[in-house]
Amino acid sequence: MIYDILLIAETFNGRILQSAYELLEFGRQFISTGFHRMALVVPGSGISPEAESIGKNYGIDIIAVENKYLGLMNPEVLQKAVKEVINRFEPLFICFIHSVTGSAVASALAAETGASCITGIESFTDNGGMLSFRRNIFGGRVTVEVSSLEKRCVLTMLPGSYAQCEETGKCIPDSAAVTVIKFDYEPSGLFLNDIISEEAGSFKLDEAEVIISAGRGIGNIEHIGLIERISGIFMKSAVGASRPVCDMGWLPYGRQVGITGKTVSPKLYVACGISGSPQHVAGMKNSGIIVAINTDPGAAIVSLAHYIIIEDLVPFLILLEEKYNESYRDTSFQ
Amino acid sequence: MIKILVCVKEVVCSGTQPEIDFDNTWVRPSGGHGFRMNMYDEYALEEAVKIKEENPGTVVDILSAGPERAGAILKKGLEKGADSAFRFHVENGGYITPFQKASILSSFAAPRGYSLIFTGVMSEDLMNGQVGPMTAALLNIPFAASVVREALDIRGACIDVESEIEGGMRALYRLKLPALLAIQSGINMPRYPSLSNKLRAKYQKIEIVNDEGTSIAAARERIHSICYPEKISRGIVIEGTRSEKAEKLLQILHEKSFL
Repeated sequence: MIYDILLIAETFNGRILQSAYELLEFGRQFISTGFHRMALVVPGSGISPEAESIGKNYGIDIIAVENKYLGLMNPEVLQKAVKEVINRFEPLFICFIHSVTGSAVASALAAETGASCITGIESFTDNGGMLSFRRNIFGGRVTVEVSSLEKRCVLTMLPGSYAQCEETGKCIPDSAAVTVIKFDYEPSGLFLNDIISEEAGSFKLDEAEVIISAGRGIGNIEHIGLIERISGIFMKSAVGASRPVCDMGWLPYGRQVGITGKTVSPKLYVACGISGSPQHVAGMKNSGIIVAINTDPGAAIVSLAHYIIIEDLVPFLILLEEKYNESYRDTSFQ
Repeated sequence: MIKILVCVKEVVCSGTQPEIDFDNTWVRPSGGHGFRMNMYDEYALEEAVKIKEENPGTVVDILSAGPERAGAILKKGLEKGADSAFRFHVENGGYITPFQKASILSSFAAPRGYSLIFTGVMSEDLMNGQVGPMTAALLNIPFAASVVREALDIRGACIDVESEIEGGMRALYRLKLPALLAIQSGINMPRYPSLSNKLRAKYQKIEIVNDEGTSIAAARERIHSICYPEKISRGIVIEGTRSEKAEKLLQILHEKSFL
């Protein structure tokens, strides 16, 4: 059996992560290029039954790779497992999700197998047989289309770039064959001892309906209180942050929105002084209403937002708070 | 003795719009702004210097692949505590793919017996995150990405690290040495150079590691078009004075039942 494209799902503790359905949607669109022999690779521990049911529901071939070290996604084992799958099925494209583990393993695998590597892609274009993949660089200020010069190409897809594939019985016209590989491999240089959770803070970011998020534009730690007060205006709200704000110690990492932080989709997301790097945007682009408050009309977040306010952040938020207190404070919870 | 290699890259200082050079399908080198060390590499260097302070006799080398001006960030690296600086000369401008970079780094590192190689988790400008894992793969050594804590065990010839993974979770890995760590921001507080290090760096040479015309590995990808992102702003720009904007925003949020 030979496949043109393999989608690599991520699993955790025997469960397939939601990002797999985004990969399926990417795959569903990708087969229009003529590369239609596609399979979903599901590496994990005790993962085969769930993998098989996805295969049935979505009409896609499944390659389940079983190894006890894949239960928590040991990167070394994942790399060797996917390499084994490549050797067996000779795909032209291999697409991971652009997570920390996915992008690192994809890169190492490409170097090891002589494949090209394009990470963090957001879409693809078929220019009459030549495929190119779009990614944003320079914090979302420049867009490039990259194409492969090798026969085989390893991709990673930025989370949130594709909607989750809907379960339509035969979403992808395929035969739903299932291959289970018992992959016998012991890690030799990288040992995964445990997975721990970063402190979550006093609220749950992923459960909040309104998130007021602070970026570098808030200027200094003294303005965090202002962000918290604005957040306090809303019911079921939480304070979020971009990575630089956490790096500077202004807010704990538990509040970080983005690829290495939380992925959120609240009803309202207010980006305060956040430029909107692809890393951050991947974690919040599916929010209901996005409000951007920024001094820079060219910031990437501006093209994503539903409502845009070009202002100095801190004076604007102070004024917003005043106006709220004048006109809405007494009425909002009636 | 522990030998550590830190790989650093220069990036344009400013966060403003880069100028596209359409003829060369890339951006103009500077656009009037200066260059500085990639932020993630600063953290990587600091972590190496901290290890050196805790383990006397440790040697920290710093390497960059770039044109002559990249010497400036290497000087900065020496000022911040690196022992020796090396530059793989690459002709001005142009784009080098992550695989080409990884090939340069791995061929430099292979004969030199480093116990640890540090890179930043990615570069601020290109955000590929490929160079570290690729370099490790080419050297056939274990790696960990997005490292936010490390504890070196010299006697046990291993290093314990905490790596960020998704959803705010962290993985605790043990890696056998030699190993490569791609360092995430926030792992430490990069220092300012001391006066004595500044003086030492001033007279220190940066060694060029390749002869003129040395070829580098062939690129495996090609950027075939470059543009500014389409401004498909679906959004409404709220206009008016600051005060009017605040009122309008509150009104919109009220109409949408958030207030």
